[in-house]
Amino acid sequence: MLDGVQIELAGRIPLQHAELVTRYIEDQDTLLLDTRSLRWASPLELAALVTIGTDAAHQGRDVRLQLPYDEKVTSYLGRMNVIDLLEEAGCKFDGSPLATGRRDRRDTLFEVTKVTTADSQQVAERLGEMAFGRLGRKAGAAAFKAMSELLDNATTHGVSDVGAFTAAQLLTGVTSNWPGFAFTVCDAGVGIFEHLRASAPHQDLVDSRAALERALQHKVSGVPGGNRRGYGLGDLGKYARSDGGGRLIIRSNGAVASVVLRSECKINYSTFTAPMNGTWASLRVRRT
Amino acid sequence: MKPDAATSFTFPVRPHGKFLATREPAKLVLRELQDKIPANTYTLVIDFTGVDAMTHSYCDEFLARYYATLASTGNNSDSTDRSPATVLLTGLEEDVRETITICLERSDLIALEDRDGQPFVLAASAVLNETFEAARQLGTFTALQLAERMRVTAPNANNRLKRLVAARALLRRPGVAERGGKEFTYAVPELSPRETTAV
Repeated sequence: MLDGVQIELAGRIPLQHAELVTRYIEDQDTLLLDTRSLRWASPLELAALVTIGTDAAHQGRDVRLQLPYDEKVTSYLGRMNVIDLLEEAGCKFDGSPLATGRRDRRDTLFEVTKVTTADSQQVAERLGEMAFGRLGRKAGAAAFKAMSELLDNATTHGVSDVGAFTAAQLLTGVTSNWPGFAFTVCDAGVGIFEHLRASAPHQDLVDSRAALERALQHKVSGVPGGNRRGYGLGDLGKYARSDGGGRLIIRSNGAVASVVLRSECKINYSTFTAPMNGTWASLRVRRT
Repeated sequence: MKPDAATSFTFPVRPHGKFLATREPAKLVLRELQDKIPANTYTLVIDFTGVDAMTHSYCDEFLARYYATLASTGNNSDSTDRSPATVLLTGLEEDVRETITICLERSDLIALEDRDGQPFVLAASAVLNETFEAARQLGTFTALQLAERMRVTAPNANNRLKRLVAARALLRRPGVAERGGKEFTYAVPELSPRETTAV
């Protein structure tokens, strides 16, 4: 028997600002995803919902999504594949998913998509086309490389039966107040702590927070003999800063790192308790 | 030293993607490259025309590994070495060139680029670039001639030449010195015109 858990996502882009709000519920073996008060979702909330729901269903939990009161938000969850993917995983819905008439927005929206090692190149091609098409060659290349380094981490180090889920959005600035892009990839793998601890140089790590701190250092890799690796996260900061700066949020198991990507990187670490497996990486970059 | 056009081989990267992202596909492309190079290929051209962007991870798994293999096989005058005598990168967009340069620098590797018919050594230190420029001016030369030209010691010149030869940026052929004994001659590869065999 697994504990029954409710995870609440409420307000505007809640995972960009706060940690997962979770509480235990009486229904054993149940995961209740409460999005009733969700008012605005970024790629992070969308991909995280699908990943955590799919992972819980894979573990044998009953997964239920309580749909948003705001029909526009519900419609957006449908438009961005969240409802289809959760339904595919066996999730039930409280409320009625609205039929979505989809306009072709492939130039700005990348719906939540499952990504594996085998199809990462196809996903990257679409992200590249989107980034170059909307941001131009220079900023597009920086955005593509930043997104792809995160994608590579998720599909190589975060491998699981569930796979990883990614989503992206290019922002014009009209509703978000700033132009740029937002990208997320969430996996349900072992997480950074277990991944690093599997290699000899990192067996001194004691918890997820320490592992995140280590992972964000230059030239750190959990791959045995990976002396040419460990540049990805550092490069990502460089790409983001070459554009206009931004923020990278990495959640892995019970720890969060929030990295402000400006001329100097500022990193805040915190911990939380939630039944979350794997690693979620979210990057938001402003264009100058 | 002019390459035999019939033994040139071009490997186009574009069929593998316009945006090259993750490590696993890069491993497959490297394997394909190594499998497809015909025996006795003199000049290998890795053509990036049409590739808009490449990540460091992809470059590391594809190009850095290939050049590391070349460097580990030593030099192209070894009779047991079947790797190409010259390896050229072409069709590089500015951003792709920058990625390759940073990636190779991190692995202490270098590569020869054919940029509009002109040779450039990517990821090379100032000293290696000066050496390559001196080599271009000398045409066909010996290590001693280069040492005199650059006013460095012969061992120093030899060390610089070794790195350029290992990256297949410079040709090396064994010969006999005027006073007897073994002596190598060196030359910068001629870049064009080049007849190619594409995959």
